[in-house]
Amino acid sequence: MPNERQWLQAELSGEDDLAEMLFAHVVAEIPPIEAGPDFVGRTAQAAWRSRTRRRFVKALAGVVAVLSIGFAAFGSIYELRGLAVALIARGAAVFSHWLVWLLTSAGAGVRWWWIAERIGTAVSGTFVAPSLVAAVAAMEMIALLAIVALKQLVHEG
Amino acid sequence: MSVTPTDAELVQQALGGSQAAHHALVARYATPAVNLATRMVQDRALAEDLAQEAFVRAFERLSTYDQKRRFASWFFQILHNVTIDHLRHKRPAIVSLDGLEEAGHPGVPATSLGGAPDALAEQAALVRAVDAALSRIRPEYREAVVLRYREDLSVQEIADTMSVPVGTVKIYLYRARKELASILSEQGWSNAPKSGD
Repeated sequence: MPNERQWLQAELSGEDDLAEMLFAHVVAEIPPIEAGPDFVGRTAQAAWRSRTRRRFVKALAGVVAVLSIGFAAFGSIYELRGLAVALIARGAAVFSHWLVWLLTSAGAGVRWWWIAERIGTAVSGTFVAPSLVAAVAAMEMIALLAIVALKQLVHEG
Repeated sequence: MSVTPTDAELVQQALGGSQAAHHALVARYATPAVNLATRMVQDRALAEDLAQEAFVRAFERLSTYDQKRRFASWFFQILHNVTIDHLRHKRPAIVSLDGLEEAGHPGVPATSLGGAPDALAEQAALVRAVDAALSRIRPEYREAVVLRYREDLSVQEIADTMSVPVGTVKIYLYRARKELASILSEQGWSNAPKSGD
C-alpha cells in the first residue's frame, strides 16, 4: 500500500505522474459515504411508483385524447349537418329569386327586342328601296322649283 | 450458477417492466450516488433525497439511454444535473471534518488500513485529513476527483457528465490535487510523521 506521505512528497516536488498515481490510491482509501439502510428499498419503490403513475397518466391522456377526437368528430358532423341544411335552403332561395328575375328580364328583353326589330325593319326598308325615296325627293324638288319660278314671274309682271 | 447481470441487461429488464431490475440497479448505484451527492452538497440527508430524485429521473428516461454508453456515466450525468439544479438555488457551505461527520460520513477507521499500529493510526489520520480537505475545495473539483478516482470514470466520461470540455476536467483534477496538497501542507502533513488527529 503506498504511503500517503509519498503522494504529498511527489505532489510538492512536482512529480505529476507519480503524484497522480499515488493520489488515486489515497482517494481509493477514503471510505465511501454509504447510503442509509432503507435507501435502496425506498428509492426503488419511489421509482416504481413514478413509473406506474407515469403509465397511468399516459393511458389516461390516451383515453382523453380518443374521447376528445370522438366528441370533436361528432360535434363537427352535427354542426356540418345544420350548416348543410342552411346552405341548401339559402341556395334554393337564391335560385328561386334568380329564376323570377330571369323570367322578368326575358319578358322585358323580348319587348325591347320587338321595338328594336321594328326600328331596324324601317331603317333597313329605307335602304332596301332607295329609288322610291329618290323619286319622291325629286318630285318635291321639282314642285319647289315651280313655286319659285312662279313667284319670280308674278314679281316681274 | 448465477451470473451477475450487466448494467445493460438490467436496463433491458427494467424497460421490460421488471421491478426486480429496478431494485437491482438502485442497489448497485446507491452508495456511489449518495457518496457523490454528499461530497457535492455536504449533507447526507439532502444527498439521499437528490440521489433518489436522480434515480426516479433516470428510470423515467430509461428508454432514452444509449446502450453504447456506460450506464454509470449516464446515471452520474443525471445525478450531476439534479445536484447542480439544487446548488444553483442554494450554494453549499464549506464544512469542517466534524461537519462532514455530522453530515453522516463515518470517517476512516484505522482498522481498515493494513500495517503496524502506529503507521496505521498515522495513515488513517492522513486519509481523514484528505477526506476533510476534500470538503474545502471547490465542488466541481470534488466531483471530478470522486468520479475519476472512486467511480473510475474516464476523463471523457467525466467531461460528458459535467458538461465541460475534457481539458477543463484535466484542469479540475490537477488543481484539486494541488489544492489538497496545499491544505495538507498547511496542516503540517508534509513535514514530520504525525500520529492520531
